[in-house]
Amino acid sequence: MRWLMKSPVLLITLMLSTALMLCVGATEILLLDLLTGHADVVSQTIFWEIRLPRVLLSIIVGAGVSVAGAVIQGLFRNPLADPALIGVSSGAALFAAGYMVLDLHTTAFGLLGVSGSAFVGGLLISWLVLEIGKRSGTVSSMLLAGIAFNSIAIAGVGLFSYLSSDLELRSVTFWALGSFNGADWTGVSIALIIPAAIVLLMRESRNLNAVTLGDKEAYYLGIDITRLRQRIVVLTAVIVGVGVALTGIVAFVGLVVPHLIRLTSSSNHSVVIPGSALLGAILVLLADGVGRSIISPAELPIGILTALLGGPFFVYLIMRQKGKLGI
Amino acid sequence: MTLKLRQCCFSVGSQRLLEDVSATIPSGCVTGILGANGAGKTSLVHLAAGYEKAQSGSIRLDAIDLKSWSREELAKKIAVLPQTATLDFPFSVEEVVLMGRIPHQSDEATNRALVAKVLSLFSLTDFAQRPYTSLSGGEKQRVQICRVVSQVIDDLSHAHLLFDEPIAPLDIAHQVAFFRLVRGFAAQGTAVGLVLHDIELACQFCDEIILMSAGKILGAGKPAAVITSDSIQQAFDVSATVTKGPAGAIQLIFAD
Repeated sequence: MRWLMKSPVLLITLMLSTALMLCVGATEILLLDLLTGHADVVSQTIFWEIRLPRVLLSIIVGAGVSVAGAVIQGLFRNPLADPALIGVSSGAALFAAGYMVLDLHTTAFGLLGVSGSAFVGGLLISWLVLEIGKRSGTVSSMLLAGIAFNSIAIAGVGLFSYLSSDLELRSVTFWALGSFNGADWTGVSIALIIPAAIVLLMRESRNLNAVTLGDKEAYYLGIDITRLRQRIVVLTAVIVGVGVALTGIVAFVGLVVPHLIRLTSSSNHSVVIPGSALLGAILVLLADGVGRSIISPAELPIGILTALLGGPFFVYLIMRQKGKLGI
Repeated sequence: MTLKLRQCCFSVGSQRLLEDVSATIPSGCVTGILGANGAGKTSLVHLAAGYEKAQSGSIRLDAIDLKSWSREELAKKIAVLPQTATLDFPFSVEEVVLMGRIPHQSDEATNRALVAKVLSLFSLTDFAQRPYTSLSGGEKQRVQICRVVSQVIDDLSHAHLLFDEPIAPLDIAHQVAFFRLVRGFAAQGTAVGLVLHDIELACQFCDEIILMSAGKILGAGKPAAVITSDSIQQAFDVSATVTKGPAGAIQLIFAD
């Protein structure tokens, strides 16, 4: 947090972006009108019931996926690791798609709902990756197992797309591409678990720094690596599961944002975690703003935008600062 | 502050890596651990520092069983540099060395001051803000050595420093500088254990030598007593004549 006090640029940018995104959309709303009571009823309804929950959800989910990426990269000691890469996000999407296409609301799964199923999917993949890591004892095998689970989950989502009706296909696509279209206050209240998980992960900053050195090194620094790994994976699954449940997969943000913080500030997790949270929130907020304005009144799924913008930018960063990235 | 292993056996699966090993790494001493590849040197270090658990035998730190020490307390007493340290994130050199202070509750200003002191000992002050990933292999190794030293720098008289092949990536000037520094730590009471492959350097800079072969201790004691033509033949399966150089340093002349 000391770093935030020293470098308030991200915090100020987030506040300005939030103010801007509350105004921009199919219906333009002037904050000044709202504050002075001059906004009409329609604008007020749009602001309170649609715009504000959507902006808040994009901030929370953007922060969450970025922090999840940062800590998974640290835990796996691999700058290219990401919850989406190791199958946590696609596992969540698979269970959400399965719930809808297989009509599971009439079964015991009905209690979970689409969101709960997505969370269970994310947690299940995390647990499987963790178990394989425990048995093989190496981080690289965990990473490779995650990549395999990711492929399986993506194939599963593809299968459900094939089996789905036209209406279901639209929903399945939502999980695969991500969207904040359905944001409401219920979603925002569920998403509040994400900032709580981020706070808990920030308390692990020193331990995560040690883990980047290696398991043996972390042990010799007095850290219980097995328990640390369990805590990180569960908290990450909570963030990713809830995030995917509410908005679908927001691609590339978790991979790119932590790198941007490392390149511009520090690799210290006490900087990377809060920095990623703020930058991720800003990027997802702006990307959602662009997505809902560029072909207004229709919307471009945010996952398409983040991948289109994040992918080339990441390649550019790799080419320009290969040595600094450590890959 | 002495680290003692008594009749330790250690296996991984069906493979016995250490057989009835008894060894001492005493305080105020630099102890060289020598032996061929696979002789059990690294296993001995991991056992002595508590990372691996012996199937039988005992390991005592200050006459107290290692199992009775909490991991956190142990990390304040024993600092270890494993054989291969990999770090793929662009931490600054100062940040890497600061990680050595993780076991301690000391405040950031104290930690930074201690880290600055260690960096200056190893002539790395000018490297403090450079990204670790941009350094050469030898420079990275010096940074890792600094990290390990910073773990115990505030209480060297009660510390144990164990280094697994610390000098392999270093040039001869930095090798000598390293030995002089660890000898300085030993003079302050630190118990220093070094896994080494250079027998001549080990004999010159170590007070005691532990020579290992096939998971057993072949000999332990003063370098001149342990390093002989016979023991070299037995440990490494090579013929060498062990002689004393002009300054009394042990030299090995290998047969053609």
